[in-house]
Amino acid sequence: MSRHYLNILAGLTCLGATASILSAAPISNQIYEIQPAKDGSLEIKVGQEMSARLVPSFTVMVSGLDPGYHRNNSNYLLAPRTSLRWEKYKQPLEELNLWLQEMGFEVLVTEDAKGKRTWNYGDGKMILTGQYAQGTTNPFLVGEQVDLLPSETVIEGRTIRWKFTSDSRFTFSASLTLPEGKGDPEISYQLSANKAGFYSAAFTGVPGVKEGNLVPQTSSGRSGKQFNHVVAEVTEKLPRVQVSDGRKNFLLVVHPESIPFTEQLINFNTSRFGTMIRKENGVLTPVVFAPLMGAASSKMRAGESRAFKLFFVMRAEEWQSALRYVAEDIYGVRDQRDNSGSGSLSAAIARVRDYLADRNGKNYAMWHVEQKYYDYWSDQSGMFKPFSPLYGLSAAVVLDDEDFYRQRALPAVEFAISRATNVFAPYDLNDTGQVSKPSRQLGKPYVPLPQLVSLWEFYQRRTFVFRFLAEQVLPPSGVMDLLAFWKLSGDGAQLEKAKAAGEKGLKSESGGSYMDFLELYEATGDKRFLGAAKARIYTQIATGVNLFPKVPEEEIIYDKGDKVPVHAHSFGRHKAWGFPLPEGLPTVEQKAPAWRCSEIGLESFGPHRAELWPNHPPQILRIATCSEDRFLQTVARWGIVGRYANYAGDNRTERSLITEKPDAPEHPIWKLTYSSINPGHAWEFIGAMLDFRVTDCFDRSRQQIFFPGLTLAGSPFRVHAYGALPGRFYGEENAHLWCPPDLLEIDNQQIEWLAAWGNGKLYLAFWSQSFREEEVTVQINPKRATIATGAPLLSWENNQPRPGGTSSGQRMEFKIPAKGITAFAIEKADIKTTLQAKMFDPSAPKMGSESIKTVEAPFGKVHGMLLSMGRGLTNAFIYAEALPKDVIAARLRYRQGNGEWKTLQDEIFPYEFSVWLEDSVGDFEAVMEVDTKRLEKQESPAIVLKSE
Amino acid sequence: MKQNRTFLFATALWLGIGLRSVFALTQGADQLPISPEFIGYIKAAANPAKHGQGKDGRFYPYPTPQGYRIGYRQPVPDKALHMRGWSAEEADAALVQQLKIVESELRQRLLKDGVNFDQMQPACREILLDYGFTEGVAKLKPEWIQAVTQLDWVRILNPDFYVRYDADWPDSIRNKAFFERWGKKGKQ
Repeated sequence: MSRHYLNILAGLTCLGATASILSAAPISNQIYEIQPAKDGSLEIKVGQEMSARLVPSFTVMVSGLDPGYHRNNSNYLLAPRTSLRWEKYKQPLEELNLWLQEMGFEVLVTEDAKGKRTWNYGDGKMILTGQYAQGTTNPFLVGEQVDLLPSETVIEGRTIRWKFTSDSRFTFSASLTLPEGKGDPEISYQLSANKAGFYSAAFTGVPGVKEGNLVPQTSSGRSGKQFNHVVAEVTEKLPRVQVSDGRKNFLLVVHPESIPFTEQLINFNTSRFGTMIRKENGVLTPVVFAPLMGAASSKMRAGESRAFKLFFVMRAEEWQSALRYVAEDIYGVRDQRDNSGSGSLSAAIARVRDYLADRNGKNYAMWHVEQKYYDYWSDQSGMFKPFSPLYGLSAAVVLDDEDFYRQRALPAVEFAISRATNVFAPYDLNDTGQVSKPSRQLGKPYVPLPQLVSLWEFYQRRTFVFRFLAEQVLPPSGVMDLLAFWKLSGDGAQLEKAKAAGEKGLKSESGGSYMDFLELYEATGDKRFLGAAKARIYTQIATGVNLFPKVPEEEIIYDKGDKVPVHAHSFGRHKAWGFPLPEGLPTVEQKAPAWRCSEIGLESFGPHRAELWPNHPPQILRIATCSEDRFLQTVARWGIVGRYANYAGDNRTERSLITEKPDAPEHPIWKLTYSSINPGHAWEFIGAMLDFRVTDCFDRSRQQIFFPGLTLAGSPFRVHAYGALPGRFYGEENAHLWCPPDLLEIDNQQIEWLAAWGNGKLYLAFWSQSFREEEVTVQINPKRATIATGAPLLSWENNQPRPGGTSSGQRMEFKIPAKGITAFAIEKADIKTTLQAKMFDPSAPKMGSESIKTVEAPFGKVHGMLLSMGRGLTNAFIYAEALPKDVIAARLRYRQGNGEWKTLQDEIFPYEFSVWLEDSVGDFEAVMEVDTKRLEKQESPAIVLKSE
Repeated sequence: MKQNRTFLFATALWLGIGLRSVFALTQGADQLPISPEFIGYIKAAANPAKHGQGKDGRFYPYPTPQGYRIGYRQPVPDKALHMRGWSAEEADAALVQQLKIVESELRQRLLKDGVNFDQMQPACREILLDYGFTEGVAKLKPEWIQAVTQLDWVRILNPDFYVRYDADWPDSIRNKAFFERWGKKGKQ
């Protein structure tokens, strides 16, 4: 038995002398009953369902030296990468190996004569030396451990006060208060340093559970099977540690008053607490450390004090309910966001498009025509790393932007179907060490089967090459492949197989992607899959989404001194990039509500407190809508509503309103010091923003405005891609999503909008992010849609149909209730689509099996294919697999029909050509000739590509 | 402009300035108003990773966003170099040869404004040669040259002024080398 429990037993025995003080009446409120026991412990009951024993046991750690403090990182088989490691203390070798064995780790630690340790996890696994093999992850070894039990206990009303014997180095006092009403017991303590040093304290008297059920949380480690490590505040998502046996939940929750909202985001050094699940003798116990040893607050001068408060929570329910309770009832998470700061997401999407399309001619997004994508600037310049062409393709279609399709989406599609990897390095690189395994391999797509089928759908099933490439990947493997194969083949048996594969995953609450289950639900309507998606999204939130600190009802000053605070990441990067020390981007100091920059709803999965990637919020919202879960809806809205006026980088370490600035990324890269900026990531952002916009309308309309999204399975930032398939608008089918930014102007930034065309009508939906009724004036651009005054229209307010009316023409004025939705279906609208007109034109050419050809040339394979997005949007894409070590230049001689032969030259690898064709002019014929490294000219056989 | 430099350099070779002549020129490297140390800086800023260097120690053309380059990021004057490459000495010689061409262009350009290149401070000469080499002398704007001539370090060390691009993104290797070489000047 551990020293810890022996001390408690010994201490409790000594407390017996004060039994007379402790035989007092119980303290109760509407939920809890606390009965002090004769041995000084507290019997706590919740109704008839739960009882537990709380011991007034605390531990203070004292270190005379700075213990050193960094992330565990490479020793991830022991504890999570983000957990803490203290370098100045270590466990004796023999003890360590014994403990590791007891904990079930298959590892042997050895030490050389200089004290340098090696962790050997066995053949084929990991052998670890260096920084992460030294020190300890055990917080009870960092300094001297002083276990405290009270020497005196006094009950004062609803408060039990404990006094402890003084130590020469520190003074400690604690109490427990049960508030009136429904509040949870509050444990308070104060630690005062009598001597300068480093101090940490923990309440260690919480009851545990024997080999408890997995409760997803940051402190539960890999697959919930790593314990006895500490996670700092900066990494935490909700300041609670929870253990559960499936019936009873015991939680320690940090009191919001102890970790108030700060003007600066918390970082590694300023973390005020750490959480841990302690496992001893098979019993799991929640522990919270505050101060956190090694962090700034643990360094105390003589006379300094630290006070801290915790809640002890007992709940007899599933863990998700306990999570919601802590988030909503203790941390006050509720829907607070509106568009007052950033303006509408609808407008932001247009700006991100402009940034990606380089509409101002400055190319701040670093698009590289030659390689058909954006430079992977932040991590490895000269390399190209798209996550899918579908983000931008969706944007091109939904925003009805033909130029964006031609200049950005199509090249990204060509990249996707020709490069075998999305970590593509065509040039000799100056290796930054940030990217592993870049490649130059060509010849097959990097996108997996499901995305090939999505591309096939986007191209309206008229471009054979996507079907062909998808069939090369068969047989399907996994749920998403089976769903893709079902869509490709129309074979219902594949859908049944997909369902069967999904049903296997239903047997546990964990494992499998929530997105897979969501898409399986969307395909089948089977609510079991929705339930599985929901269970997993709760896990995603519990381990990945910030739900604290509590947002104060006040304003704070942002961007002091008229400068955006510099992101921590910028310092090292600027040095690496040859820029001077980063300076804050000029802006305007502002006072604004605290919620505007709260990190609630944002992920943190690395060293940064606030990740700005918005791919999860749309899915959380969709699951919320389908399952009527208001908590999930709140979390989703926190992730994106009122945050962005443009792409503003990947993550942040400081609070700022920069993300609300319309021109946030439109500066030279050396001025973008406020975030980690990989400009090409705006490509993924626009897809996620579109997904949220469509899903928000789906939610607000109670699912009556619905557009089917296509899958991006296989992409790490997985969203739905829209525009390929028609949807429905209040019962009217065949509505094509159509949101060109220049369709209309709205005078109210609280209002989001979405439009569609079909059935001879223009459909418009407006929904408000405001908490009060809003007045709206909409001006429809006649170059996009001409609305006849007096044209019949249908309208809905908050999803209730209103009596039929008539249109007021190009200008519309109306009111929207708080968080309401107002929609219109206007007849006799003359709608002017551009890209969509060509895409959905029934006379658009079809590409059959003769539209793709691969030939064997002396210099390797040459692939040719026709891609057709619609009428007048057919191009031939020809590329060679030859590498620059073999071929130094290529020429394509080509013609269409009986036209004249033309020649194009390419002297930069890959050797590829994209040629626009005319409809109905005839077949495309081409020959590729190359110069080899040996200065030989070699020619491919002729490639002839035909449409149907 | 890069095409013109390529043409000049290639022409120099095609007109019969053979290897022997190139070697002769390299022996005059120390006659350039620049130090061997500066040439070392140019080399490190151009190709510190020695891209294109084969196992035989020779420099072969390697792929860049501008097309194939060889040695210290110079245009490939002869496609035959894909097969035979340059020795280290030839790569050095080609670099010095190109610097001499740049120097000649700079002299002519500055002379029009009544500025004697030889009488400039070493730092001015080096920066002008550096940027003339990478950007082309004709592309250097008058106000840019003036700032360098005056050694206006506040302007020179502003990234808006000195950042060079490799295709569509800043050239971190060159920018870092430049800033590490001159960055302390701004604090003096």
